[in-house]
Amino acid sequence: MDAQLRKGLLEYCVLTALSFQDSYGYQIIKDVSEYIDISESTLYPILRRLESDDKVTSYNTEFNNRIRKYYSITSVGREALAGFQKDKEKLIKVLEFIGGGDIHG
Amino acid sequence: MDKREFLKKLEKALKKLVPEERARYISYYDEIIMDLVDGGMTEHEACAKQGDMSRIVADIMSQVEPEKVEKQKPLDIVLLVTSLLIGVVCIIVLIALPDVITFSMMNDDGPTSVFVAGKVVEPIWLYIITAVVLITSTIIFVLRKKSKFALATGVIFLVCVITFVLVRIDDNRKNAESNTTETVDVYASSEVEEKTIEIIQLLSHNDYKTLRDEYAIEELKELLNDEYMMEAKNMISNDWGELCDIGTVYSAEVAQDNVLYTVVQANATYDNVSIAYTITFDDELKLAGIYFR
Repeated sequence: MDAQLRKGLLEYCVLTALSFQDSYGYQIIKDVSEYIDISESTLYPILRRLESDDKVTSYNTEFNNRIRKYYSITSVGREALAGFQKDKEKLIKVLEFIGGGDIHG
Repeated sequence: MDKREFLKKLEKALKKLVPEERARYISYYDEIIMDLVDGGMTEHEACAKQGDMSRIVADIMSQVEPEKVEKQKPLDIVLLVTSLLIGVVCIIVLIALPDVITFSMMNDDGPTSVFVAGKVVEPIWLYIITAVVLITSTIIFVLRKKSKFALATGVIFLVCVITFVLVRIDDNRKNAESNTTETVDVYASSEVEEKTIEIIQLLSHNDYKTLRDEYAIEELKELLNDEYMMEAKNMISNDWGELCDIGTVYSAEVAQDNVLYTVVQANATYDNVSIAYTITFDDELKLAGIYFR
């Protein structure tokens, strides 16, 4: 997938993964990568940005004698996700338009 | 590469980030790698899965907020520039500073000054300040983990030290050479003093003929004519008066173009003026230069 397009979608993918339950880095990658390419080095900057935008919060828990950082979606994050749902129809129209392009020239 | 190596490499690669932000990435990767290990991978495999370090860093840096990037502190730059500048100045001085300078001012107006040679005083303070500045800034940079800056000041310091040592060795070699000339011990200081007093007396009595015939080297004879000398004396005062006293005669030996000169300094008081003489003798104790003011 195009890098620019992917970048825009990844944020919502992460929020979606967190909308079901709190999760941690490794698990988020596992969940999201079923649908979209995501690597360890792309996930963390997204989490950081979501955190500074107050769309997610984080907390530490102990697991196997080490710290594991969990992320939790906030109400702001859910609103953002809801906002995306509203844009979905417009987005699908755009996708259909692009899909109907004359690729054979 | 195991986890420890990987994280160490990452930390180094993320140097540009502010420390807190860097620490967050370190603990994030620590956790991810441990999770992968828990999932059945070895540390090596988990690290290899992260891909190329340069791509990881590029990914991070392209996403990071500008305020999370550590700015180069202006103080560091000022310190670096100052250190390098003073270091370079010191090196130039060390190389360019001649052990002997000479200047002849033989113009058409007459030999007011004929030949002067002198040992230039070494700028010890410059050396001390340079050493202190360079060592201090190197230590500061090392403590602040600015390894490139520290390297730069360290190298300059080393070059300074090496230059200093080389110049010293060269100086000693030159001195050793000049010391081997036979003339060094031939003329006792009292003989020089005697000659100096004789010359000053002859000058005072305007007896240039004796000076020419019995004292001066060939090159000076031409300049020591009555007309020139009278003119030069008149430039200071038309009437010096009688010679009253000649002060202590100081002398120093100076090597120039492999010839050993003796430079003598003496003050003479006259009725109306006080004159500082600088008189130069060559290695045969011939008068090689007179300068008075």
